[in-house]
Amino acid sequence: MIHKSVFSLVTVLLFPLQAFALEWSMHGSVKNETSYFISGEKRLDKLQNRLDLKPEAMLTDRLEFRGRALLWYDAAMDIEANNVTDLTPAIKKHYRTYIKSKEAYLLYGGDAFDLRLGQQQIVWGKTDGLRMLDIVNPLDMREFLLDDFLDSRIGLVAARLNYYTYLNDHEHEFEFIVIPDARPAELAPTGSRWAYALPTLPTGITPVILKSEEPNWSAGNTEYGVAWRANLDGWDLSLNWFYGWKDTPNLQKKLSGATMFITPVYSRMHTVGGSFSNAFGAFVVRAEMAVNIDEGLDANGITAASSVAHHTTLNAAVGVDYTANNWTVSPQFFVRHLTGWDANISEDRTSGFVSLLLATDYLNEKLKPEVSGLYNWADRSWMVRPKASYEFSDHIKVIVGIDLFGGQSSSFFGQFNDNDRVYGELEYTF
Amino acid sequence: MNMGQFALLVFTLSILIGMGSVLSYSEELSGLGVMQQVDDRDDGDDLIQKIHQKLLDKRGSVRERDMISFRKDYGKDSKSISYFLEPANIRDTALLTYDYDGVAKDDDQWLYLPALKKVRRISSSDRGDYFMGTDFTFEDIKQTPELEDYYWTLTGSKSIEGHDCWVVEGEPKTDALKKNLGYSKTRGYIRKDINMNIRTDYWDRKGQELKHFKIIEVKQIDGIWTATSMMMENVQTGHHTEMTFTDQKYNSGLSDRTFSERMLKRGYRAK
Repeated sequence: MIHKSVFSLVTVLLFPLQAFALEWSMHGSVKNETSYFISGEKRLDKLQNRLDLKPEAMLTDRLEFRGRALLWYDAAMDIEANNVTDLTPAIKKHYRTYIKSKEAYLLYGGDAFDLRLGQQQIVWGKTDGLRMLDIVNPLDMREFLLDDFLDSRIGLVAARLNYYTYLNDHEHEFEFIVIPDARPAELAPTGSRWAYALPTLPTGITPVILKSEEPNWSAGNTEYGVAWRANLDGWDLSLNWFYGWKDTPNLQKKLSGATMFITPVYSRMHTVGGSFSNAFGAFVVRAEMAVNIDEGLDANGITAASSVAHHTTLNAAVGVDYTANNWTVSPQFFVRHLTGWDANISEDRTSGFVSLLLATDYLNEKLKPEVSGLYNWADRSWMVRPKASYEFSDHIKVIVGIDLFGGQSSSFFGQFNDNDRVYGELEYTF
Repeated sequence: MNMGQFALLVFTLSILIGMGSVLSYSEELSGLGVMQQVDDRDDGDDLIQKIHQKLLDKRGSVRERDMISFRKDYGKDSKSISYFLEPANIRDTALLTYDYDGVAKDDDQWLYLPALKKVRRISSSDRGDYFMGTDFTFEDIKQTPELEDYYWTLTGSKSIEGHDCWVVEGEPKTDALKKNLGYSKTRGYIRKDINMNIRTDYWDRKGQELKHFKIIEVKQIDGIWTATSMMMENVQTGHHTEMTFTDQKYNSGLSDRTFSERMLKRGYRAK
């Protein structure tokens, strides 16, 4: 599938493009990302040299091509002595190189509609840092949630029609999405430092992970979505429906003797939700809600039937952006509630997060320090990420930061307690 | 017409002319009146223009940005949308503003951030916030300040670069406004012949000299007096911003659809 996407990008780029393009352009960046683990086993985490390319072409007055390809080589897999000896060949291969098309689509702009065909990222929702309505594209979770979503979202081949019409003097947008390219999230490989912890098993039981059957490109796996958006009396409103696959698998278990066979299984679900935002003086309030109908949930059983349950889950978030004196303060509150919960389900009946972003800038926005944090109030684990960026020129930017994790080792963030790291990035954009 | 009717006509005309003179004189003497004329100056029903920004710090470091901006008037209100075209690190960042006349209602603003692929509603209440690293605040980049927010005083006339100008001082009416706008006083120089503010001096909330605004070049385009080059210098930081405006198109009949979240997300591509 990866090669198919890259091939489609290159084909569109190289073969027909120059033949009838009115104008084409190539923007992008060259970037080095270096990070070092400062807790657990201290070692070089990554030494990535990245090339980010964004080709575009105006094919006619109304037809455009837009693409984005991301590739890198991570030298830490070869020069960090501990990585060379500790990591399996599969882990090193997973992290060493990356060549992927992130987007490659045609955009036709009509008077009252936009049609996008091809590989694309479709972003829903109003919240930052965690995803509730932003569920259309799965994530590449090779670095947990630390990557920018723009980089970690997996582009999907889709048809997207946005139709605009005026009703009662207000513009209304109706969005229709069809995605034959169903794909799950790409999790960090088992044994790597960003892999999710496996469920705790009784002493003496050995886990064996079996190959899963992932959703793939087929008519039966096709995902569908519809959204409505409008600004009514100052309120930005949306209603959303998506029928797709849950991006992350549930772990179906089967105990046989002293071996626990674990099979990641994927399931379909309907998501119905909506969002709103509005400004009140110095405050902007934004919120979203997503109801996942028949969502797959991990359970504590040891048979195929008892280890995965399906229930409706309610997911909601509200955030406030306060801006004054060149400071932005953005707290958010997330809550997740499971209907039909019983003690056999691995999750809490009600769980959630709070987040906080503090940001400002100095020197006419050349220097931008910020700190963001996420706290899981159900398991009391946390992640804090201070960073600062400095623009040396229009094209050169440096970022330095720290990622810190805390909580019990079985908790959402605490499982990465040994992954505290410092990092630096040097980027040239063109 | 007999002599009586003629005398009555002359008398009536003289009264009307006299009243006009009195009105005109009192308007000339009113700072608010002068600012109202600035606000009423013909600037077209809609406008498309390209903007080149040059941000220079005191050490000589230069950052340059290219934008394209669209504006359309809806009576006393207006809508505008501006797209950053260059450099690449802010390309496709776009700002949509619904600018409501008066102070009863805050403007509505939305910002598209390509790094998030999201349109964000943003607060417009902090009008003293600086616009994208320039020396212009969100208040400064408006056509004219909200007239109701200031006490306007006409302090005299002065010749600026050969142009006869009114000198009008503005003082925000409350401490809260001074804090919000970032100014305790402004002094503007308004060309009498075209009702255009060509220079403004700003003092910060503590009364210290803060910034100097200057229009460098004015041209008549499609019959409308247009600033094509301007500069804002912050004397406290040594930073200054130069802006040049080109490719103006007035009254091209911009569609209402131009000013929408749809266009923010699509970005601007030259056809």
